[in-house]
Amino acid sequence: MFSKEDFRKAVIEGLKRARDVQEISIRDDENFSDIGLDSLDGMTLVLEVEAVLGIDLGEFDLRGANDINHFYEKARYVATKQEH
Amino acid sequence: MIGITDIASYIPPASVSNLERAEAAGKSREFVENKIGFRRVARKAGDEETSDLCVRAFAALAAKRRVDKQAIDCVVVCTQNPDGRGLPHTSAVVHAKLGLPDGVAAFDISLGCSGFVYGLSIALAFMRANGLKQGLLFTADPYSKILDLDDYDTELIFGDAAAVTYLSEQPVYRMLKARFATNGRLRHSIQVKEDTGRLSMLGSNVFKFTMTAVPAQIEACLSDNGLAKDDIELFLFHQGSKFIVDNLGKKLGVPAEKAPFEARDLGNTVSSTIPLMLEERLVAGPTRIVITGFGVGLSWGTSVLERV
Repeated sequence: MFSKEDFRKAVIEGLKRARDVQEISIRDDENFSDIGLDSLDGMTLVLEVEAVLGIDLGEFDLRGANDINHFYEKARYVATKQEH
Repeated sequence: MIGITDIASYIPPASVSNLERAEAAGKSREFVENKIGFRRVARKAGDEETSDLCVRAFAALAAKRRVDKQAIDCVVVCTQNPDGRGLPHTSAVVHAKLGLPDGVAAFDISLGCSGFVYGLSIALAFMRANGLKQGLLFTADPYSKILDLDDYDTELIFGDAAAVTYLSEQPVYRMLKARFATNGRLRHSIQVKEDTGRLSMLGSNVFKFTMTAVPAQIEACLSDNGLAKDDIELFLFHQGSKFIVDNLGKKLGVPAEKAPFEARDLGNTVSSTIPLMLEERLVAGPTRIVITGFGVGLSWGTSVLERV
């Protein structure tokens, strides 16, 4: 299972790729839309996080998980369910 | 050798502006134009049937070249939105409306966005196996029949159109080996809901499958044909949305000019997107073209067209 810190790094990397920028700054409780992420970028973000962490979250979308904290919780819940 | 001799199409004259209704849809104009990519979506008339779209596409073909109806021996219609409830099959309706002779094989294929690649492979193989000489492959899947007007995730995407691909022994493109695949476990990702009879789509599922399974299939298909990406001058991806076409190109490492998005004022016309792009390239088109369709099923198919 991935740690919160590893997940956070993966999200930052994913955001950079999704937004095609070199640097990105975001708080754990800051809404992704506040840094310009739209719903389609969100799909890219999920794929990039999966790629960075080497995981497959299955049928996953960012609804209700619009910041790092909630994204992490939702991803951890899904990953835990997959383990069982 | 049987292959693609010509293509013609019918795009209904009416359309809806996505830019004008962007605000009502809760989207910015910039998002509609640069992400979804469809400024307008074509809409058939309310009393236009799927077979009518096919007949009008054929009229466009007949206006371009002489087509001897008495010599046609195969009619295939690819649609999941047939005339009426699909019984009788739409290809039989088209057969009658075109006044074709009785000695014609006519059948429908039920596939969505992968339908052109499948349909081409099926029609060519069927014709070869049975010694048929001249075939018409219609793609006509008017989603306006099933769209939920309040669901902007689909309303802003799908457009109506039809194309007819004329197959004969005087081809300009032949079809090389194709690859086909299905993931029925995710069939709910694009479906008509039983209770509403309206289309429902899980965009995140479709996007993920497109970015993972489809590039792998394209690479495998190229390998099957002993080709590399550099051997391909043009990649015609199903025009699901600008976002999907752009990202698929990036994923494959193909520059945008080799993987164009050309459906800005049409919408996603399902199995017709690829023949609509091919149509204008039949005269003096590139040597090799990759065609890839993906969607409903989930289903995906890829092949290479080579100039004869």
